Amino acid sequence: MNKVLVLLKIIFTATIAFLLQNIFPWWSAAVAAFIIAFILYTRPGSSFLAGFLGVAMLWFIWAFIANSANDGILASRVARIFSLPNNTLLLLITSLIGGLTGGLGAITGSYFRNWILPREEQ
Amino acid sequence: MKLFRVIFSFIITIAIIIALNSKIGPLPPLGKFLDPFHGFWANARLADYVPGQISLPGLQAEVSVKYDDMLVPHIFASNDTDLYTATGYVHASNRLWQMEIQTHAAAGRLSEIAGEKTLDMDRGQRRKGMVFGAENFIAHLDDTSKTILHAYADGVNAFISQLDYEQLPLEYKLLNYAPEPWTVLKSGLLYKYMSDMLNSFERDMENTNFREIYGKEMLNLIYPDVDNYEDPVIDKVGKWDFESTENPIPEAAFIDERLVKIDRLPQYNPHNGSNNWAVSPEKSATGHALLCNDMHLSLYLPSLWYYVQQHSEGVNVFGHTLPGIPFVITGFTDSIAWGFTNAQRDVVDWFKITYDRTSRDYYLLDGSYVPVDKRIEEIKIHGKESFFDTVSYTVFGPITYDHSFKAESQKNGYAYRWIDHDPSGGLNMFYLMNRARNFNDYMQALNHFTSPAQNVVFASVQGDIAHKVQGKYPYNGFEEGKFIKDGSTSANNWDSYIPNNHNAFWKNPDRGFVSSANQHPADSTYPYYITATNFEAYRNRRINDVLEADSALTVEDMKQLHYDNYSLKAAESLPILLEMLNGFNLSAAEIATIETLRQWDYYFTAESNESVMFDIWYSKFYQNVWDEIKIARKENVILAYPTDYSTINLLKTQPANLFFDHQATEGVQTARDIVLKSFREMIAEVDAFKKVNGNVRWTDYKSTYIEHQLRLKPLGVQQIVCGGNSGDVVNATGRNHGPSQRIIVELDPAGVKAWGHFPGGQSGNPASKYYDNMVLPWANGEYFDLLFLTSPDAGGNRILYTQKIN
Repeated sequence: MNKVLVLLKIIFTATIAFLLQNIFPWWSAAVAAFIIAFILYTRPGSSFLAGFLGVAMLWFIWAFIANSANDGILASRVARIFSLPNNTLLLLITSLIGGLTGGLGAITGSYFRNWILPREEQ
Repeated sequence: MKLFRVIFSFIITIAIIIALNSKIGPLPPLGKFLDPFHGFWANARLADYVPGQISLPGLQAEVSVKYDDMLVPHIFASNDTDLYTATGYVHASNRLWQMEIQTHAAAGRLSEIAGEKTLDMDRGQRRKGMVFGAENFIAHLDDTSKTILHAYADGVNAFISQLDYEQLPLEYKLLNYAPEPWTVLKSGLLYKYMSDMLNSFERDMENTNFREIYGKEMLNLIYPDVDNYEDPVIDKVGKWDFESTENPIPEAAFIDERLVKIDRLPQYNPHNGSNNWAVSPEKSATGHALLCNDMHLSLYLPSLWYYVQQHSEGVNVFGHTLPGIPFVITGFTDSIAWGFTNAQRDVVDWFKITYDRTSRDYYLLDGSYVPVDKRIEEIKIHGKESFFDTVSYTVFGPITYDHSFKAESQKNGYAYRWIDHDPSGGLNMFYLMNRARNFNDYMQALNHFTSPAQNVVFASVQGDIAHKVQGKYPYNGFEEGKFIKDGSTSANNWDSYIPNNHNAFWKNPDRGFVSSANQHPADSTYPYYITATNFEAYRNRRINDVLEADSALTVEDMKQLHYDNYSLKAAESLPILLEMLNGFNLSAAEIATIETLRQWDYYFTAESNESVMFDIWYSKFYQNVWDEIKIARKENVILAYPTDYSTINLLKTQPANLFFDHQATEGVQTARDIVLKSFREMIAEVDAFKKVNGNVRWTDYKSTYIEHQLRLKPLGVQQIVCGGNSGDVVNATGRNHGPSQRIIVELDPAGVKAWGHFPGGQSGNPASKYYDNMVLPWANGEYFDLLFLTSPDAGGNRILYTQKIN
């Protein structure tokens, strides 16, 4: 049950983040993760994980698509500017920064819910 | 406890988001920059995206822009205003960051972005009067040019106003700032940026010092007004049909009792120069006139040039534009072609200013102390308080060097007089040239052109060819303008100019071609005194020799001449250098090197080893000869480095000249000793290079590269394989200096044809394949067929995108 819920949260976080990010700046991904963590309860640790993976996946896929469409031309230049050995590492760092943003939003959402709503179940 | 956790995690989250949204050290804001939706990944996604429909309020009618397979826009408008508004939009959408950074550089505003490290550079620009000149330029524009610059700015701003972070050029994202609105003044600043690059050469202070230390005779030997060969741009001995207007009185000899000690602002590369020529129908295999041009500058990405075709009522022109200026700078219309090389002329003077003993607010002029005109310059610095610089203006111009800037004297300053401080009709020239149909139109257009002085080559479908050394030149007496002038007498200021119709010019000369390569403008019978920093002595003669030798020149011949790697400098100096080694006791390896060099054909090909040997040998020799100059410069006593031609001439004629004595070596050396010393240094360096690289190919040693304007290596191109050399070789491709474009135009009455390329590409986006797609063809000698359309639909399958602007 819990695993399915976490999986759902990952998908919902990615979806809401996708919608928000089309309009708002990059940090709206944290807002998306916050909302999902608030609505769908899991323990804060699982919430962080779901928020992290949801946004990390979204950022990875979106960057991957941009990179493929561009044959990696820009990514390889930017990777070299930051002394990274290859494009893949740049994709992973992108994904990591997105994940961190999502995870932090999610754990805050989760704590927020713990504070204002009585705990239903453990 | 629960509340504490909420507050704690909330604060951490916000703090990290703020950190990821801020630029820390050299890193861009990581969250913002890496965001795949709006960050740099968006630049990759949108790399070659050309929107089909653009809304641009203010246009009178729809404009159609056809982008071809080189990403060249062909702009079809129905009136001038729409044409130039669309040009502004097109320039901005391809080159916005470059447009802004170059005008910031001109205006002395780099510190706003780069911080304190560019403060001196910015102060220098303000103190040279770059903004003052640009303001004068804009204030005195003719009505047509003014209207067009406004229309152009509207187009640029229409693009800027549609931008959000997602569409910002990469460089803004890396440095975390945003573009500001474009103004008419910025076009003026770009114009001054080019003039400064091309027409600010002088050595007045250096000559003054040299004369003081070594005397007048030595000065005339080392830095002659005219070299002892003649192959000028305009060569019509005895056929000048005018005399100089009343002879100006030579400047009263102003011998300064003290040496000029300043820490000079960096000067432009002395190899900034160019080649251009035109071949008459009689000498052309097809019977059509041919015109060629390649302009040599420091090489950067995004490329300086941007191809545009502009088509509207009364105009159909194709050529090189400078993003920031609405017109085609060099190129061709449906009937004529024109091209530039820099004219070597003295259009700068320095005036020594003597301050009032009690206050630097006053300076001595004609016997009394008069107030300076102060201009306060605020230089904003990224991350710091603004720096305020007071620049004092005199009747001559701004005091560039004074007690507060690079000069030691408390009593004196040096005021800068530059032709580009004056209003100029330059833009009107471009407007008219872009519409020229024949020789008379070309001449009329040129009448408006005062700066930067250029050798303007011309050819037409009517079969005319011509060349004019066009600019506005101070009318100087003999040797006037070569030295620092006395700034306490207003009569020393420029008061008259060579009349425009007396500028050196010829049309359809008997030899069947015209050419220029930054050499002396006119033969010795030209009625006016001419001086300049230096005159090119090799490319001009080589080009003329090649053109002279063939009576049926083809486009293929023109390409070959562009890529001609023959070094006349090597041909004229290597035999002398080798001969001077006679009589020394040499090792077997040294003798083998001499044998190798003896066999050399003087071609700087990519593969050649001898090019490396000669180049190093000659440079070592040059440095060893002019070590006195280097030593003096260390003490801020500025002296000028002589030309190669003059150096080799000295070697030939005065091998015992005092300059051949090497300062750091005991005893007294002559030319032979220096030649041997340099030869041995060369062998050591060649061996060291071979050890590291395994070979001594010229291309590897030269290691041509093109750098991004931010000097970020990954945004440039390195290790480009090519022959040629800066300076004396027609294929002037040096280390990061060389042909900034090449073009060949065939003036076929049935339709003008052209071939060209430049070392970069049309796009300013490092994500685009059109960012550097022309670099290899440029290195390899491959030309693109330049598409010149007569109607919007004539492009066929060469058109990739159509953009409608309305």
